[in-house]
Amino acid sequence: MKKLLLVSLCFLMLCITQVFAQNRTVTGTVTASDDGQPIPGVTVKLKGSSIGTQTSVAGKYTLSVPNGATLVFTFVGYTPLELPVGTSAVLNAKLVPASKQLTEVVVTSFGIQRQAASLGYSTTKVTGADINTAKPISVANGLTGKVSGLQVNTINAGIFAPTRITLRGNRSLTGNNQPLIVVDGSIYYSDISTLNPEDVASTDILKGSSASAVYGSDASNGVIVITTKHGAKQTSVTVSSTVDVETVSYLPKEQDQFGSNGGEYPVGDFSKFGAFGADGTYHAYYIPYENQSYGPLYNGISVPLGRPLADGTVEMVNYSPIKNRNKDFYNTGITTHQNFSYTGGDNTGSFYMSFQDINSTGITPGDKGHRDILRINGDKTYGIFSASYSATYTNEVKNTTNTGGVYDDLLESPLFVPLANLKDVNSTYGNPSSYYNDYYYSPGEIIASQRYLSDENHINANVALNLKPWKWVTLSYRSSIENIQTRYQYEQAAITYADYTQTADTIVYANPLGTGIVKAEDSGTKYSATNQKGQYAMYNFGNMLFTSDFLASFNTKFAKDFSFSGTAGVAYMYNRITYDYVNAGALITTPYNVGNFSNASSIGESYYAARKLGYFGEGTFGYKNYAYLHGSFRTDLDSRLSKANRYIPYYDIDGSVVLSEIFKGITDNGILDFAKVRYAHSLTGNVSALAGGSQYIAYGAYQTKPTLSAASGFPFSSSGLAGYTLNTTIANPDIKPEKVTEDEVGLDLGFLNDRINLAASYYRSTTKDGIVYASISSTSGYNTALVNAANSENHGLELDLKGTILKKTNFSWMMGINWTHQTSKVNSIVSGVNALNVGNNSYAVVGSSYPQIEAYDWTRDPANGKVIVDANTGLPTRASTLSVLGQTNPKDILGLTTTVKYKAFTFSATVDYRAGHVIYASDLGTTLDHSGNSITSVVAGRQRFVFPNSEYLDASTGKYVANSNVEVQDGNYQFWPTLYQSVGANYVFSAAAWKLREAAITFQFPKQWIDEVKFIKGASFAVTGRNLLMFVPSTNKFTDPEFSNDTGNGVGTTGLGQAPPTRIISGTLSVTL
Amino acid sequence: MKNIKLIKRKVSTLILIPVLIALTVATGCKKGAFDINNNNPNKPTTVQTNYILSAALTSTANLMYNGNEDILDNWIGYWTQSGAYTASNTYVLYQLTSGTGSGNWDGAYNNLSNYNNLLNTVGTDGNLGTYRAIGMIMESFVFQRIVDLYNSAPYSSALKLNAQYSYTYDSGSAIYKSCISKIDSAVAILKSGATNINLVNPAGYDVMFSGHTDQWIKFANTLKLKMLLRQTQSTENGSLGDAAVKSALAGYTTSDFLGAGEDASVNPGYSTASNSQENPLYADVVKDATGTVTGDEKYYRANAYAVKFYKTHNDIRDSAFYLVNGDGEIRGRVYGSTDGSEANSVISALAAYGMNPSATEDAPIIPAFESLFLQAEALQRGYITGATAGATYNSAVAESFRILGLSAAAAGVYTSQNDATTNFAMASDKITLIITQKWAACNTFDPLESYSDWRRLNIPASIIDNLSIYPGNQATHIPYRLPYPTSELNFNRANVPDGGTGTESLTSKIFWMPTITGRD
Repeated sequence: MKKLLLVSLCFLMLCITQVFAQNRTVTGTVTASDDGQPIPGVTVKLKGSSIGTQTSVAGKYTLSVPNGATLVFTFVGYTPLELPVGTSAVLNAKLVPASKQLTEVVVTSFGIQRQAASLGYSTTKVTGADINTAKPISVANGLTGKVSGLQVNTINAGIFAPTRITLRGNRSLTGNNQPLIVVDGSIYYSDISTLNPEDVASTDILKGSSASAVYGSDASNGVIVITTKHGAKQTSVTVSSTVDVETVSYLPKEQDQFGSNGGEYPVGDFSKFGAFGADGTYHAYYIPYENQSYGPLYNGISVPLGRPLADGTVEMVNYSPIKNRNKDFYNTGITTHQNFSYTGGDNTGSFYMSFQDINSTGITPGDKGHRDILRINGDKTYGIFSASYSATYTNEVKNTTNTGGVYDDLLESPLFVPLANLKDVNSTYGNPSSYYNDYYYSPGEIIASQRYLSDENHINANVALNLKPWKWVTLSYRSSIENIQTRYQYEQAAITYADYTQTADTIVYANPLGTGIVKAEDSGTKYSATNQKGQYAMYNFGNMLFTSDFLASFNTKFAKDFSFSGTAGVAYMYNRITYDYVNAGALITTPYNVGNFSNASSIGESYYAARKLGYFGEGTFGYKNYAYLHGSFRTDLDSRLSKANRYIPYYDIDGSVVLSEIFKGITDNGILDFAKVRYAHSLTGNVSALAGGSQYIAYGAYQTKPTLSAASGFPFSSSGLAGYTLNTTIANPDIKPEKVTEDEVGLDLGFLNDRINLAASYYRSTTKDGIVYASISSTSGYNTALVNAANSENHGLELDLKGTILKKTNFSWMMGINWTHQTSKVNSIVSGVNALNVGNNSYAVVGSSYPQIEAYDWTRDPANGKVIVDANTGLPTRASTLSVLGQTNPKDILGLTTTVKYKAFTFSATVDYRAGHVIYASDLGTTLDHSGNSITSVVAGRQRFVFPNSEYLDASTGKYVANSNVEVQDGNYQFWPTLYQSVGANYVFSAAAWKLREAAITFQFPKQWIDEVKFIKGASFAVTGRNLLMFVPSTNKFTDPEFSNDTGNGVGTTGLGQAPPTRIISGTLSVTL
Repeated sequence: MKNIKLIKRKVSTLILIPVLIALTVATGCKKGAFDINNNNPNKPTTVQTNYILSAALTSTANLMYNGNEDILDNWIGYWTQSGAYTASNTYVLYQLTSGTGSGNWDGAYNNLSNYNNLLNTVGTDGNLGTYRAIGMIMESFVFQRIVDLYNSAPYSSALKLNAQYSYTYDSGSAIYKSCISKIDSAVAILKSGATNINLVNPAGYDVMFSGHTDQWIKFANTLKLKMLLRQTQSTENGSLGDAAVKSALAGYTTSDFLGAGEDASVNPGYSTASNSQENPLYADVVKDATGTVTGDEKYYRANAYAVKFYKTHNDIRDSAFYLVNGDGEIRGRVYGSTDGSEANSVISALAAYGMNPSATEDAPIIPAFESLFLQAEALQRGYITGATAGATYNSAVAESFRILGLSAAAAGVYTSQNDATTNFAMASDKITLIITQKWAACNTFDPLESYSDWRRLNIPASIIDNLSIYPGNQATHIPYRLPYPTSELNFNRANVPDGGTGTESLTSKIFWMPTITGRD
């Protein structure tokens, strides 16, 4: 596969060969020295002439040569070989793989290919095969753990789960920090998950801003360059089918001792269901309609659950926790992938087409998704002219429920409530009227009546023309169009309660002894029994990106040892976003259509457009094959900025020296065979903060002038009165791009004939004039000011070590380790402003790494950190101001990859570890403590206890003394769901985790097995797993610390909106025809 | 050879294609192509003065009723939280954070920003004097709220841009002083406008008084009266004290203030067309536009303290403030009660504005009864002339009944019954009577007024009975003010005065608060 890929790259650089002066014909086969396999596409040339040919798919060549000639065999990735033509008519050649670092080709900006040796900055290549090892749905998942400096957070476990990708951390406090995705030379605005991972031939990760300076302001966060598969001369068809089985792997820990009570009557004795009070009235401790578990101990007897139904009957259940209740509620998600691809071609062109169909059902009952991706590409060469094209169409449809609502039901309900029976709203106890719980809807009701629908369509197509009029010049032109059309709908069914819930019915309790039921004196209507109208909301989002660029590339050698290659070009970009929406409105009746609204609903539309034109140039000077100096320059004309700020220069200067080529002696001992040092310095800019962190340039439009908006409620429909209010953000006509300066040094080493490779980089990037929508004092009359004011910095160390530990004929073992250590610091925001909310509970805090969680902590003694409690009640108090509780980006990321091959079997695995950061499980924690299902709430057996690590003010001495005896006055309902739950710091904990991300075993059917079937060229079967294991510290009682409420900069807060983490096991059968 | 020539000719033709395209890209973008972002297609950059006025006045009503008032209604004995919910320690333990009630600050300055925009738009245009005066009066109204809730606040530095985004604080007394003189200037502008035939009248865009300047003058004077009466009890910290208040009110008669039937209230056209077009209090504590009860309707319930007061004094207004429970009674819940059996079927719901609450109701800014209670106090203290304190008191109570949809006759029965807490003639301490009844009338309408009276006069003193009984409550009285909000602590920390953050709100005072023995 890899060789075929290289062939396809060769086509682009192909020179025209002319054949003349025929003397005699030589034929031969070119094979590789390492595996003995024939190599197709090897250039075979007559030394000192332009006469030559290429080897066929079978590695064979035929060439007419004069007597006494010498043939030169060259192929990417192999050391060139010169062989004199003797007298024989057959001349076979065996090529030895070259040191990869010397010959590897890296695809950089605008599809420009450069030799790895000449690069002064860090890049990492990941092949399509490595990405697809575990058959991920998204390319991003396939990259996780494999590259230093790259952090991929899969933020939930839903259908087509979104990811947040960062390279070298965050550079912008409020702008976009995710890298630019470039597919076959064109900027790709759609989410990376809309690409078919099977179409990817390779990715080049350009980590630093040096690598991407040529892209100007869109790429200061690095670039992920994706090269898709192209056709090969040999026609082949590959069909594969994968089935994923997804199961819940991890759920918050819950207590299994105490059942229903929500504080109705203070529990006097946890071993009883109730008691007669001094007033002679029966006080129930067990409350059958409660969602909270602050009641009696589970004892296994039969108790009434919920209120009586219309016929007076009541559900009876065992008062004992149901093992794995929540886990068993979730379904096993099944995802099927069907893949088909066709490749073909001849000497002048190639064609590739593929189709992928994914059908997915989620773990949350009723959640489903469907994705189809169709791709074609091809190229054709006509002499000095060549043309290529590609087009992808993606349709992704999702139908999901209110994930958080269902999860909340599970975490709230006492563990003896048989929720698994209530997935269906039509079950006896699953409808709104009959559901046991007085305050919430049944999970089945939520699943049935609250639906989020989305239908996304992505088209991305491009054409490219190339002309090579002279050997040293290539002119190329590329245009691409991307169109995203998405329709979102929210449908909520009307809820009508049965009449009997509206009447004050009798509440049924278990009697004090638990031997029967008693009807209570007090009664009431079902608390939540309020009929609801159906609701409907929808919006349409359209995003069009047109890009066009023209490049002139030069490549020449001058003097004897000097070479120059360079590119100059111009790149144009136009982005337009339209957004039309109808806010949620009440329906008179279904179907879900705005025509059935009961009131005039609020509608809106937005239109954004922006354009950019960049002029750029870059060049590399080479001296011999060991010293390179590269520089690039770009300036952008950006419609979003005022005239004075439109021309901003971006540049990069980098260089590399291949020491092993200068001092050849150092390779003599056979240990070290490659050594390169590199340095890069760049200045790039970024205005994505204008777009609120979005990478879409259009969203950044119109930020330089103040505006007014229709005030809340206006225009009032009954009076027709209009009213406008000031925008609360201060517009800034002088805004200019923030500047990111990055310095990087690196060392690349190869040992033992390339069996071990080490790449190390250290970088430091500083952001100046950072654009922030700084929150300012509201006394200014505004909430935010758009300013160039923030200063921050990032430092990082990246190591990639790859090695072949064993290599035998039938057995090989490869290992890779990548390690990233990153630190950041916010130096200033805006004068007077020391913290800036960047989303969720995350803040940029001056003097701290970015971003930090802020939440309310206990009131503590600043001298020793102890919690101050009241000397009489033993109760702590919540601090009145927010505390800074830790960074949410990991300080260290360690990735381990391994591949073991034995005969037809290949085993591979990816493990990663992240540490040095925290996560805030805000609503998971509060829900569990509110409901009384939290494991924390039973640490003292629901009895009074001395608050740990506390002190109190001793009235007699006026001094604080350590508390060893004053107990909190209540250890049950008056403490956990009120005071304890109100302190956010209780739910901030280490986000460290070890994860076995991927493991795969592939079995390649031996040739003799399939030889019988003539038309099958190859077949394989693979069993793979994703997210198989996760190890977290004991303080994490909640969830996967990678989860986050959204993919924005404010990472580190997770809650009910993210379904519980899952484990995916899949099987794949692949056949190549 | 022939082939090569052919290709060469093609080269010259082909080479033109990309070069031409490139030229098109580079130069073909028409002049102005990069100016497409100069005009925002989504939002206007300027609008009519009328639209600024209507929005700003409506937003003041939102400031008072869209949830910011909840905490005061709880503290001062009108509302409490439902037994169906887990208690909030912010409320029942008075553990205030910088997030508590912050809408009262942020919302107020946002509202001020729009009045300021109105003043900037109007400028010195004499024909727009009415707009200018309204802007000045309403700025004073909102600043009075800020001072009454927070004391010191940015005033002279506020609503202006400075490069450091640093906003210094002025003392509460300085803000009061400046606002009162601003009110006087506004009244002068309104009075002089009467002679200007080119004067523009905002008419319907004045959603409070439909352009009736005489009403605006009365409103301004009532606001001034309110701000002066706050300062009667202390001469410290810049508070005026009895004598200075008296001299400041010299010459005012009852006809200068809002009288019977003259509610200062906002209504831009409230309806159930959408949640945001409903009366803000109705949208908060009654029903949303679809007719579904709101979350706060379920969360806030009748407070036993107020229910007991009305019952004790045969006050039929209880049925206008609260709805009957499942048993057909009006029943309140004791503040901070832990009795979870006090479900919503047991404890009365809130009725919002009286007997026939509706989403189309006006939102009172200063109801007539409040003006009359203020006048009654000023008359009783001998500050103003024009009526007797007793008659004005009776009129105030009657206006309270009227706005709730109850008859004047019923009010008459109430104020003439044999009860020293309702009957002016029988009351031994007239000020206590007036303020107690003002408290009884301000239920839900203006909890800030009641909260201020209690802080100023310790009336009703029995509010101590409404102190949270939640286990572990250590507070001995209602907090004296709201803590400065998170936005100030994060974005303007250097200027925030000491005290007044979190628990310090229990002891830190508004400038006009006297020292009250036994409470402080």
